[in-house]
Amino acid sequence: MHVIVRYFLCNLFLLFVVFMSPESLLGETNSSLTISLLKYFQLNDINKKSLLNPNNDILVLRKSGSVFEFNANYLLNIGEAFKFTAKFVDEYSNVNSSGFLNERKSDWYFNNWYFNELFFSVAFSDRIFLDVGKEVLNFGCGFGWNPSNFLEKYGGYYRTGFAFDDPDNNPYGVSLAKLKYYGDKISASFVWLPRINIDKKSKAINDYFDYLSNPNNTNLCFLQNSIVINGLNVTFLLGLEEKLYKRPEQGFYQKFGLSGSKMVGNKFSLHAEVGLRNGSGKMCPVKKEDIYELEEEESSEKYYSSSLIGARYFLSNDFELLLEYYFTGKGYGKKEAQIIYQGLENSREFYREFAYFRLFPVAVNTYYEFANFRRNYLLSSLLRNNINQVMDFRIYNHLCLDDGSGFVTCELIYRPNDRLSFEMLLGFPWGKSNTEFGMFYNRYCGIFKVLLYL
Amino acid sequence: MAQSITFSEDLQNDEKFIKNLLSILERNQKASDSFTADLIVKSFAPSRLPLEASLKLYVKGQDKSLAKFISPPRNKNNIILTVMNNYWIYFFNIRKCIIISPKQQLFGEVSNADVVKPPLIINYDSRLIGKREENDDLIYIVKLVANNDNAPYGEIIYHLRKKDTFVLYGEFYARSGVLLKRVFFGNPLYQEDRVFAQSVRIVDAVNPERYTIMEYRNIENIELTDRMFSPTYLEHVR
Repeated sequence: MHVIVRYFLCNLFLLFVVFMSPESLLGETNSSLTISLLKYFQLNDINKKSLLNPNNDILVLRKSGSVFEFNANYLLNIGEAFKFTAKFVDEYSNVNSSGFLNERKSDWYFNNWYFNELFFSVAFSDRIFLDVGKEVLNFGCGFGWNPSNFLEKYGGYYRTGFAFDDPDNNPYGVSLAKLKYYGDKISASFVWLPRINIDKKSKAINDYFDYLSNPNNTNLCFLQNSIVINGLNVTFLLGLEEKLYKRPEQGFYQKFGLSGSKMVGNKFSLHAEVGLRNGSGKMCPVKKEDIYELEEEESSEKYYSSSLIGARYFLSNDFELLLEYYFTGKGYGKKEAQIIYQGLENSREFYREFAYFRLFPVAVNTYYEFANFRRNYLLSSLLRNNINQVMDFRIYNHLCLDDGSGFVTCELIYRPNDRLSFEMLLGFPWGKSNTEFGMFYNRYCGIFKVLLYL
Repeated sequence: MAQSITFSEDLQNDEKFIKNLLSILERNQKASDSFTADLIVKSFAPSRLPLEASLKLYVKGQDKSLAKFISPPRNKNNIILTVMNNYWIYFFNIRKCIIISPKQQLFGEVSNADVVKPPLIINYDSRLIGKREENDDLIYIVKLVANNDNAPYGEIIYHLRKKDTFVLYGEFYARSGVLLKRVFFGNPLYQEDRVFAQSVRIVDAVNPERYTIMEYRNIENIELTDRMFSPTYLEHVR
């Protein structure tokens, strides 16, 4: 109980600031508040117990994790020309962002807060807009993966989990300046992610600044063009990223992205994405931790590509099927993968101490490339909305085509009213040992989440 | 109100009237060529509490509409867009737009195509299948049959009152011929060249106790720009 009291006291000030805005002076305020309570739990060798049995103690297992998430979306329109957008996130948890459990009894929970978004938008006319600040950028039309995304690393976590439209799956915002132009048929954006490198004496302050601003370690700029022709929505991305540190004389990495989606008839839609870049197998900007890796493996001459093709079929008003094939372009071959998986298998004792965080053992996936180790993947999904007006059901299967392992995710959403939502998600990895998903055989895991919209 | 409206000689002429039925229906779908309105949607079913949503509607010409959710809080600021026969939904929380089907259920018995309406003229062929008299009014019964795969319904039957061209009643059929919903129109708003239903009751064909009421309020004729009806522009719609 003391945890909850402390948590709400911490946020009382924020509530006051966000919701006591002088609306009458500044114009229209459009704010929303979502409070989420998430409970992560990992079930291991206890599958004889019924998950839904209220008398068992699954939810308080030591290997489970609890996260209170407090999200405040705040949009303030100031006159016709100015707009201020902020999204505040406060996580109060015993699972840190690396997936470790905090086991110190005296300080069981710790608190992370940050602005996922905090930017001003200025409208010079109804055609030209400028955004400055920390903003979330979303690219591509893929549901499981976005190979055309220059900023994929900022997504943080692999998307499987609650539905893609869940704000908790939102990528992290990045510090940027964005100039947007909307023509009658085509729109274009020029985006600059400046290199931000503030070196403070205190490591704690430095780390916290990184956490708040999510800065780049390189200059990255790109041009984004979008056009809609007969319902075909095409986006083209062209980016240049400054090369890092030890080789500044070598100029820029080049990056290209192309994505498009179209409805065929009124039941079937197709979407596709392609990403192409040189110098690095990664599409995203290079982060500090990647530097050493890059020094060893980068080749400026070589181009890497990844691609995705997908289809959705609307079976009826409520049923929807999704199929998506993803080619990573630079995954590990069979022999390399076997070495990695064997190594992980041998150190299972060590990894047992990790908690699942957002379903996936991030410990094995330091660079967030889980489900990207190999080359060919297939995502299939069945969505059933409105089972009985208040309940939705979704099931996903991620299949690694290279080794025949997979991960099934089932999601149930219950919405008793407009302001409350209960969501439960269970994940089951399957496949032989020494395969991408099979490493976690004999395990299953889940998330229980309560959402309150204010 | 209805009596004060005088229709052109052409419309009074039976032959031309029947010939122009589809364009009359098309016009009557929209309050004007460019307008905004508040849309209140209430859904009722015996097994649950009533659901309610409110949206801000922007309509331009025959083929462009968008609806922005004002409530419920869960959907606030999400936008549904249609241009011709293409549909998108914009998720405010993740600032992302995806393609959707016109047949997908939006709220209660209401599908996307019932709120942001595609043009009838390019999707349907029409013919007169009957006439009847009701309270001394002549009612035409018009059948619309889909002529392409993009049309949201296989067939639609409209009952249209001749004297003011107001559509009183409609039946919406799937391509298989199954009756999906019955629609009752009311509260006519008489504009210069059309009559627009400000109240629409959509009743489930299988269970008549499940129904949804849509009410249009604060209709304003405003000249809207074409560019706001683009998937990339939706984040700027206020």
